[in-house]
Amino acid sequence: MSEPTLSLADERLTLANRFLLPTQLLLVFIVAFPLLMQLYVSMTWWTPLDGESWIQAWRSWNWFDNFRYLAVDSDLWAAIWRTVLFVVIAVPIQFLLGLFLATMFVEGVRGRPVLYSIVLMPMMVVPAVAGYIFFLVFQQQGPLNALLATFWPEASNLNWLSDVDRAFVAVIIADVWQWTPLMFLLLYAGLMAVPEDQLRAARILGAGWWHRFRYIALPRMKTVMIIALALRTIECFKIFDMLYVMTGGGPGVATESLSLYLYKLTFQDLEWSYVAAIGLTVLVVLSAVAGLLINRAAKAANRDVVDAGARTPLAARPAEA
Amino acid sequence: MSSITLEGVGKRFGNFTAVQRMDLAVENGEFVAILGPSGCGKSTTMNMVAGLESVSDGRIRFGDRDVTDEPVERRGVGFVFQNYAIFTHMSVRRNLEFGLLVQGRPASERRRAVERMAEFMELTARLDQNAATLSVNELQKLAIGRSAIVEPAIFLLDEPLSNLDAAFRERMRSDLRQIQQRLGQTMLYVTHDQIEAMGLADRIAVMSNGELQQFDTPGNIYREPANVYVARFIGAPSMNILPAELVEGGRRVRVGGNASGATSLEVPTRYRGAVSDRLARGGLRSTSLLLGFRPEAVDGPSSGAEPGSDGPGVMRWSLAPTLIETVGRRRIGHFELAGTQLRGTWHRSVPLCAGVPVDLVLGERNLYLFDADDERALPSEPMGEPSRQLVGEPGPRGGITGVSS
Repeated sequence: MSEPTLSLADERLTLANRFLLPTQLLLVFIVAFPLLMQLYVSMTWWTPLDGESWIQAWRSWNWFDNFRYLAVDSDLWAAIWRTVLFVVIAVPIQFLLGLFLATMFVEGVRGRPVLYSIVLMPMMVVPAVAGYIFFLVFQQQGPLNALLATFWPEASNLNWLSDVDRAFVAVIIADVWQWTPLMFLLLYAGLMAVPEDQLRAARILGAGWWHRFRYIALPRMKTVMIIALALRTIECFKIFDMLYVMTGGGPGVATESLSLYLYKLTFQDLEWSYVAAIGLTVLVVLSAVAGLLINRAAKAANRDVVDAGARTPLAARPAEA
Repeated sequence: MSSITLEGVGKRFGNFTAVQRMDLAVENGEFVAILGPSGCGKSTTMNMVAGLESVSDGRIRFGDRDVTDEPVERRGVGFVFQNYAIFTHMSVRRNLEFGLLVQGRPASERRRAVERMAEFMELTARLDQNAATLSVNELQKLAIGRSAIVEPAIFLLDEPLSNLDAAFRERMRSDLRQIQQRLGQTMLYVTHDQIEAMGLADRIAVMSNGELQQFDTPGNIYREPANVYVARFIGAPSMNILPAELVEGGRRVRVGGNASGATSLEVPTRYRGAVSDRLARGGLRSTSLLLGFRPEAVDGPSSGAEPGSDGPGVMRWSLAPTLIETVGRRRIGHFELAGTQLRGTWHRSVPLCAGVPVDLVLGERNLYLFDADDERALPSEPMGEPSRQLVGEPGPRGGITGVSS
């Protein structure tokens, strides 16, 4: 009579599951529960003004009316459009600037350690504080206009934050200032991972700066680039605190991002069920987009792993294939 | 095709001198090895020739062209790195055509050149594989082919064989020599392996501590080392060097002081001129020398022969081995004389016994004399037939004055 025995691998799995159980329970409460609650509320007309707790929200059950409404909500779509515009302008600028800085650092630049700290500093500033800094910078009597006025006297009449277009430009500048360092950091790491000897070999073969970048560095940096772009796109899409402090979404709704719009809906209009519906939709769409990007990055990374296998010490490899 | 000329080229990193100013003239089509231990400045020298490192002093010329200030990408040298630096994210074809690609050559020309080179390097079957999948010998051929395809006049190789295991290295060594002969380029080859250098190179530049020690053919470097360093570095086991004192007015050198086994040997004929010059110049340490002989130059051992029966120019020296090693077909006897370790090698059939004195038989042509202070070889007359000059006769540069300390 033999007892059914578990293989070592099975046992390990069981043990692992036991250890993971508390975490999984915790996750149910902090992720699954709010999500379900949100889904529930999003299918009602419930608002805290009803004077009932959210559990009674079923009284105003409306199925998918909120979702139907968001599809035609012109304020929402305007906010989304502004956010997308913001992302497609700000992120590429951050990317190119970051790449330029990273290349400069790799090629060797005077006073690198000092410059390094200076370049990274904006990233350390709390976004709300950065918003406040730029709120001051872009004042009509602010330092920027004073500086511009030294060679263009009319600059002192420029009003940045109360002009629809200029306010948009101003927030993009602020965001670029704050987040180029992150791009730089990621891309610098990517560039550093490009094998030095291959760059030198390419150089000896007559490759100039562009060819070295195009044929040697770029193929190896693809993964890092995709990750950096995905990270900043997602983050930038959610921009809130800096805008809230700097312009409050104004003038009018000129700099009102999606997050800011949702915030106003939530705390000024108290349309909680509608906000829940929008939140869910954004979550689903962003997850799909991010999933797609990460999938691509993983594929690129896999290719790199194959390459890395080829970089094992030569002596350790068989002499004949 | 092009020669390489280094004129007073040196390299300093801050206070540290990596390469002392040196002159080196590599002729067109010549295969020159730069030989030395790690950190001797040989790779730095190579990198300066390639342009990967700027020079602190001096000029570098390829043929008549002064390339000292030209950037790497315009010097047009081929360079094979120690780890080959193959572009592992590209196919073999892309690797081969890279040099032509960045020169902007048309696709048809690239294709023709790649196919020719692939055939030459026996890589045709691999052309469309990822370069990362190649074996080590193929990687090496690819590295050479990739550099050779742009037809550089000068080819630099940085320890290309050091990643290979011993058996395969042997084969690549002969392959490399063949490739060089077929391509006919000027090759500069950095290595720390003396066998590689001796076997491959037309001439060897021996470096140590950032200084060029000697630049000559492998044979001359072995036969006439310029100083104690080169003498010890080339050959294995390395040359025996022991302190010696000129005695009897410069006719003989005494080794071993007053220790047992000490002896005196005739000053070899080819050094007589130098020795008499030295004594004539005088000075406190003029009689102090270093005597060297190679372990494999020792004949014998025989015993019981009458002194002087060996004919002119042959010396005998009776010593008792302290330890005997047998390595393959060689038998190595270890001796000790006044604190200096000496070695002699014989065929393994020769009977040797620890503690039993044997005669080391040395031809005078196999003895070397070095200055005790700067460790340079004493100037010698060219080694042709051993000169028949008799002991005690005045040297060609004047009589020996009785100097003895």
